[in-house]
Amino acid sequence: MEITVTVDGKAVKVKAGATILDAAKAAGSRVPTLCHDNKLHPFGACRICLVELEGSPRKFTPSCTTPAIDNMVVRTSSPALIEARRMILELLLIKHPLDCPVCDKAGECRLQDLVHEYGLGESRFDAEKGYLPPDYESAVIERNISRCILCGKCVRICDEQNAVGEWAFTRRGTRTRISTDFDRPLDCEFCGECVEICPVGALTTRQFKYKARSWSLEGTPSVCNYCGCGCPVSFERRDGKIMRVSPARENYLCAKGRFGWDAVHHADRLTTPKMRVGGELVDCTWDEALAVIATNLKVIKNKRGADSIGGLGSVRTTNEDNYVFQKFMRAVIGTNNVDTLARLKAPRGLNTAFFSGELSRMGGHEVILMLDKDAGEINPLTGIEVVRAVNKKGRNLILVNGGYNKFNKIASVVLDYNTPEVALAELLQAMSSGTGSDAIKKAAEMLKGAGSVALIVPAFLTDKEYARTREFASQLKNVTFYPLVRRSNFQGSLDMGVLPDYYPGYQKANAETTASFAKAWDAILPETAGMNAVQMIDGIKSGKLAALYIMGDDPAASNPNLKALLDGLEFLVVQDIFMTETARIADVVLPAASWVEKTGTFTNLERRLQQIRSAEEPVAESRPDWEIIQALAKKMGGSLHYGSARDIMNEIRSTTPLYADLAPGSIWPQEKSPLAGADADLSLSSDVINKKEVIAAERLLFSSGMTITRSKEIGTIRHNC
Amino acid sequence: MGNEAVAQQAATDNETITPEMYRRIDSIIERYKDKPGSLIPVLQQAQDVCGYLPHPVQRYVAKGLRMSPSVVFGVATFYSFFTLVPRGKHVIRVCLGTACYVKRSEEILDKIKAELELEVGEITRDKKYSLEAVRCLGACGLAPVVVVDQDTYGDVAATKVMDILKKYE
Repeated sequence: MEITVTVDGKAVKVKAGATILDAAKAAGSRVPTLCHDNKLHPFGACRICLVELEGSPRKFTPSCTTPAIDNMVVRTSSPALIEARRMILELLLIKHPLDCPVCDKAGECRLQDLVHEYGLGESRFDAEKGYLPPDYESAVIERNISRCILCGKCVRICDEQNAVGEWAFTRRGTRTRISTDFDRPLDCEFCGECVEICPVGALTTRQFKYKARSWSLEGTPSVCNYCGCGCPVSFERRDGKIMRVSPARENYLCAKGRFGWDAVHHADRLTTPKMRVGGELVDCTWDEALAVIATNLKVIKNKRGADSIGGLGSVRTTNEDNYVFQKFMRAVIGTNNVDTLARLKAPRGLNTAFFSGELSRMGGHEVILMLDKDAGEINPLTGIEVVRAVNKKGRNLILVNGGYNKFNKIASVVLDYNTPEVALAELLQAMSSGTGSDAIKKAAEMLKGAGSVALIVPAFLTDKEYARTREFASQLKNVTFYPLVRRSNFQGSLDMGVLPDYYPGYQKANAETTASFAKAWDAILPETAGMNAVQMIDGIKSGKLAALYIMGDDPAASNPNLKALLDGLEFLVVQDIFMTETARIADVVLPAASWVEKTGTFTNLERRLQQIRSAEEPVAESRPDWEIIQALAKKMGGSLHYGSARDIMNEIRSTTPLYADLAPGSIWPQEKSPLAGADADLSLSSDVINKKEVIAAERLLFSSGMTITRSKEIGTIRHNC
Repeated sequence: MGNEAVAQQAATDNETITPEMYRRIDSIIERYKDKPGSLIPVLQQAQDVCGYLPHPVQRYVAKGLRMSPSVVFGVATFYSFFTLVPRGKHVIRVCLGTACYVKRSEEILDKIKAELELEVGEITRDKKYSLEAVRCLGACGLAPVVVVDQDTYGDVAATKVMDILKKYE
C-alpha cells in the first residue's frame, strides 16, 4: 500500500511503514542525520533529524523513528528547526574536542560537516572538554572516547549485523560511554565495521592513522582476495599507493578484507627473477630466467616425455592467469598434468552436488540450517548474511554447534552436536517419525514447515557426512546450498580448466573436446590422461614426474612432507609474489604482480564474475602471471599473443560456453554446467596432505594461507588473540 | 574504579567466587534463560549470591543468557543497585542531596572516612563496612540523613555518627 506525504510542499508517494525521513529523501529534501544508517534499525539518539509536522501537538518530531502517515504535511527546514539543530550541535560540542586537524575522520565526518553547515564556531557553554585518554591497547582499532557523540552506531552494527555485540553503552548520565565489559581491550572479529560507520573520529584505524587526508584519496574499485566471498572493495590511493581499503557499495568487509591488503607491501615481495647458481638463488634478468626454464623443460620433455612435467595453478590468481596457465601446459608443454593443490582442501560436492546460492538472498529463505559453526570464520560474508537474515528478516536459524559462538546468540534452535552427521540422522528420524529430543523435534518441525531452506554446507565432510548431507537435502523443499570456499578464486581456477580431466568450462578432456580446442588454439594437444595434484605428488615419489611448474602456491610451507618431496624434483619453477618456502627450494623463481597490481577477473563462490583492477604499479620487476607465461611460451616456440587481460577474456568467452555471455557482476547459472547433477566430486584426498588445516590453533577468521601471514595489521590481531 | 584497582580486584575475584556460587547462578539462569528481559533479575539474584558482580560472574551470566558480556556490563553499570566491587557486611549511605548538604552532611562523610580509613566506594579492611555517597533519599525533612543497611537515621551529627555505627557489628 502506498501513502502520500507532502514534504516541503512537494507531494510524494511512499510505501506504508516508511519513515518521515524516507519520505523526505524521496521528496529530495535533505534532512541531516548522525545516528541513522540504512543498515540499522531506527534508533533516534541524536535528534538532529527533527522536522515539523503540520497539526502536530509536538513542536518537533524526529524523522528517522516516526512512521509517515497518509496526508502528512512535513517541513524539514524553518528558522525554528535551524535553531533547534544548532542547539543540539552546541550541546554535542560541549564535550567533542573539534581537534579536526589531527583527526583522521576529517573530511568525511558528519559532525564536522554539520558544524560547518550551521556555522558554529563557538559555543555558549563554557565547560571543560570531556577528556578521556585514547585507547591504544586494542589491535588495529583506536578509540578516542572524547570524540564520541554516543550515537550508538558502533553498538548497533556490531550487534545487528555481526551478532558480536562487542560495544555497549555503559555507565549513566554524563559519564555514559561506549565501551566493552570492564573497559577491556577489543577481543572481537576486528572487522572495522564500527570504524566505517562511526560518524565522527571516535573510532579510527591504526593502519590509516595520519596517512592521508580523506579528500586526497582516489578510489579504485576491485575485489578482495582473501576468501571465496570476493567482496567488492575500493582501494583508496594517494600518489599511486594504497592508503586504506573500504567496502564498495556499502557492503561489509572482514578484518582480512579491510586490513590484510598490506601484505602486498611486505619486504618478502619478490622483486627480480632468481635462478639457482652453485646451490644459491641469485638475482638474474627476465631473459636469463626464462631461457633457463625453456632449456630445462625442453630437455626434460625430450628425454622423459611431456607427461613427466606437471603444473600447479593458483586459486589466488585471476581467471586469465589460470586460463593461460592450463593452455600453456596443454598446448606448449603438451601434457594434461595441470591441477591446483587447493582441491585437496576443497569442499565436497562443490559444483556437482552443491552449487552455491546468492549470498545476498540468504534472507529470502524461511529457515537457515547451519551445519558448520565456523561458517562466519571461513567465509565472513556468509556469516554476516545469516545474521542479517535473522535480525532483519526474522528468519529462523538452526545451528549445529557442540560449543558456543556468536551464532548461539541468534539461533532459534541450537543442536548440541560436534559433527553434522548425528544431527542430520536424528533430524531425519524426527521428520519421519516425530521422535527425538525437544531441540531436534523443534528443528524438524521448522524444516518440515519451511517453504525454503538455506543449507550452509560444512567446509570439511567425511564420506559418511557427505552422503548423509545429500540424503538429508533431498528431503527438503526448495533447498539452496551455501558451500564454504576458502580461496578467493578457487571457483575460477576450476572454471578455467586447471584440472587434468576437464578443459575450461568443465568440458571433459575426451577426443572430441581435445580436437575442438586443438582447432581453437591452433595447437597439438595431448591425448593421454593427465595426473591430478595427488597423482603428481605420488609421481614425484615414484619418479614419474621430473619437473614441476608452480604458479602462486606454497605447498612446502603447508606440509613438511611435501617440502622434502619437492626438493627431490629434477627441476622446479616457482612463480609467486613472495619468497615462499617453496620458492626457496626452486631452481628458478619468478616475481609475479599481486592482485592489487593487475587487472583481470575472479569468479567467487557464487560463480559471479568479478572485475579486479590495478591500483598500484607492479612491484619492481614483477609482472602479471599471464604475461610471464606468455613470455616463456614464446621462448619455447609456442604461440600465445595476448595484448591484455581483456584479450584473454575474449578468448575464454569463445572457447568456454559457461563464460560466453557472462557479464562482469553476473553469475553463471548452474544448469549450464556439464557437471550439474553429475555424480562427480571435484575434491581430492591424499595420505600425504591432511584435509583439515594443519595449524588448528589459529582462528580461521584471521588466517587465509600464506599471504595473510605477511600482513602487519592482521599480525597484530593474531598476537593479541 | 581505576585500572590498578581492577587488576587487584580480578585477582581476588577468583578466590571469593566459589564453585558453589556458580552452581547457584546456574539454577538462576536455568529459571530465566528463555524469558526475554531477564537480565536484570538474573543480575540481582547473582549479586545476592556473590555480594557483588565481578567480571567472571558477568561473563558467566552473559554466556548463560546468550548475550554479549559488554551488554551485561552496560546494565550492571547503569543501575546504582548493582556493584562491581564487594560490599561490606554493612553498607553506609550518606546523603549529599541539597537539604542534607546544607545541614553539613559532608562533615559526617569526612568523619566516617577518617574513622574507618576508607574512601567513598570502598570497603574497610575487615570487610565490615562499605561507604557510599547518595543524592537525596527522599527524606529531606530528616536532614542530614544516614542510612545503614535498611535503617534510616535522621538529624545525625558528625560527632555522633560513630555511635550509630557501633550498633552494627
